[in-house]
Amino acid sequence: MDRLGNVTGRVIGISANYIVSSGENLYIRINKSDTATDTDDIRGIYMINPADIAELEITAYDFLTNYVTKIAEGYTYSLCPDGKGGIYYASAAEEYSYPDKIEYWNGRSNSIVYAIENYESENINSYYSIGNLKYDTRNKTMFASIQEHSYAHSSLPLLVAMKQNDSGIFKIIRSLGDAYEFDSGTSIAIIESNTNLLPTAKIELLSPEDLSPETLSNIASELSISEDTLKFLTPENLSPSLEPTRAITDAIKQDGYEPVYKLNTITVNDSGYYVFAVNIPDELADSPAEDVKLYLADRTILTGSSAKSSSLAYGLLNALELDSMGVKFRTLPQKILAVAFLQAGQPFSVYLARIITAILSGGSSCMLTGASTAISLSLCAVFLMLRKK
Amino acid sequence: MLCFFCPFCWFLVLGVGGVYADVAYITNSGRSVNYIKQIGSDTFHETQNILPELSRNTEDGYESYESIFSFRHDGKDKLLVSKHEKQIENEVKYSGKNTFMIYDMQDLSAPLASSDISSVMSYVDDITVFGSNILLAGDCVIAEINPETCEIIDQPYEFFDAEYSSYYDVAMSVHKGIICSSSYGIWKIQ
Repeated sequence: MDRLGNVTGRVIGISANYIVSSGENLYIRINKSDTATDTDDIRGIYMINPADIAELEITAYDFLTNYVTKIAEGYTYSLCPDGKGGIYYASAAEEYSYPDKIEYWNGRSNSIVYAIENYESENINSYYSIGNLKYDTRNKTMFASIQEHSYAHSSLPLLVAMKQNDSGIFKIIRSLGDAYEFDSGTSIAIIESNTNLLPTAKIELLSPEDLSPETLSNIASELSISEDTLKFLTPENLSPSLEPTRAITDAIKQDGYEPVYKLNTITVNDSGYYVFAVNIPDELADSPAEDVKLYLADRTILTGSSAKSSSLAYGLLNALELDSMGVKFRTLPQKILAVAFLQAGQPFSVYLARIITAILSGGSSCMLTGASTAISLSLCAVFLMLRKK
Repeated sequence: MLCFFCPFCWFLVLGVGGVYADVAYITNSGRSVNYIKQIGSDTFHETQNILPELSRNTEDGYESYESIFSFRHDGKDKLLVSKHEKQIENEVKYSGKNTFMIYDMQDLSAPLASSDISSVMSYVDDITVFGSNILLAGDCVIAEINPETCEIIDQPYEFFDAEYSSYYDVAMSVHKGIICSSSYGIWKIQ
């Protein structure tokens, strides 16, 4: 073990406290310690190539001045590799400020600044900070925790998923729940697999028009927005703080539904539908078929076993969100009027029969379960193409 | 040859076409480990607890999940999760035992293996793979564990310094050797 440099205290009073690997380079974040006496501002992120310093024994000063490249100055936090040799990192404008933007270094030259565009606090006296960056290179999705601060208190941080728009701005596309501990308590592992860990769930599908005035009022109150605003919520203006709550659950009950279990998903498609997925405890996994129902407004459109409804629920979510993904289907269903549902093990002819039945009955969307997601979605694509024609 | 009459061919046409990338995310919120699945470019499904939510408070303190790491071993996707106990005496927090558990992603009902790590590693800030083993970088200590048995093979690298015993970030990366940075230095391990 070669000691490259005792950076803290002894020479210039700094601490190096984060390092990531990206391509050929390593990136180290260095913060000047509070007791530093050196006048040079050496805070920032430095890039090194381990091969350059493999056999060297250098002082910390030499290390910083001769063997590294400074790529970012100032108050930087939470760097993560982009998988192509560059890094993303959060930064703050000045000392004692919260890191409130994401910057990018491409590994060669310029640093490009990206801000999170659509996270705006309702309280003008509060600020937000960004941490725990994690970049999924495969889907070009950035995960981060975002925490809101005011003079009075700090909120629980939220884990969010972000994607860059055409202008390079990160936009929050989903709030994924409490990150709970901002600095060290949150980590994300990304696996690329077809692991089947889908929860057992049932779905409540509602549209704003289907909700009673009282329900709308309750939800609007819970979200601290006006009822008019609620009616026009879209994924683009959906607040990252929007989370299912007991109040919403209670509101649904008042409309005659039975979300008796934990409400854990809320999403809004382009038509303004609200989709609520409700967990079902494991002990109901082998319960009778009547235990799980799929609702559209006040109509039960599907009843099935909880095991089957697991994929059923996700199938519906997939179908509804295809359009917001901008994938293939431009005609978003106004209503789920027909559902093609297949129990596992039935022959393929049953699939076709269900599809034909759904088309003849005027269905404008479809969902298939009992097969893999890819197969279900493929068949849904066939259905929707036929429907479009 | 594609027949286009069975679902498998449609899977090839639409599924393999890359429209529906299937990626799973495992998130650790400190007190619980959740699962998020992404299908397609920006469709997320809400989290589901996949490991028991930890009680925040115990008789002597509290415990939480500390780190999480996915890796592939022996042809299977596995998960490494650390559980951390903290003891509180007279309102002062002391680091307690770390337990590491390896799970099969297909069956999270019980860990495949587990082991206790020295309490010196009170915080594990980074995990990486070195050769065929897993390295845990913790509170000025790096431990090497067997990805199959979760046992500590060695605890070879200790950077503990009484003067700078802060548990501030310790991270590392594998690239032509290991370079570690801690709150008090930058190191290279050969």
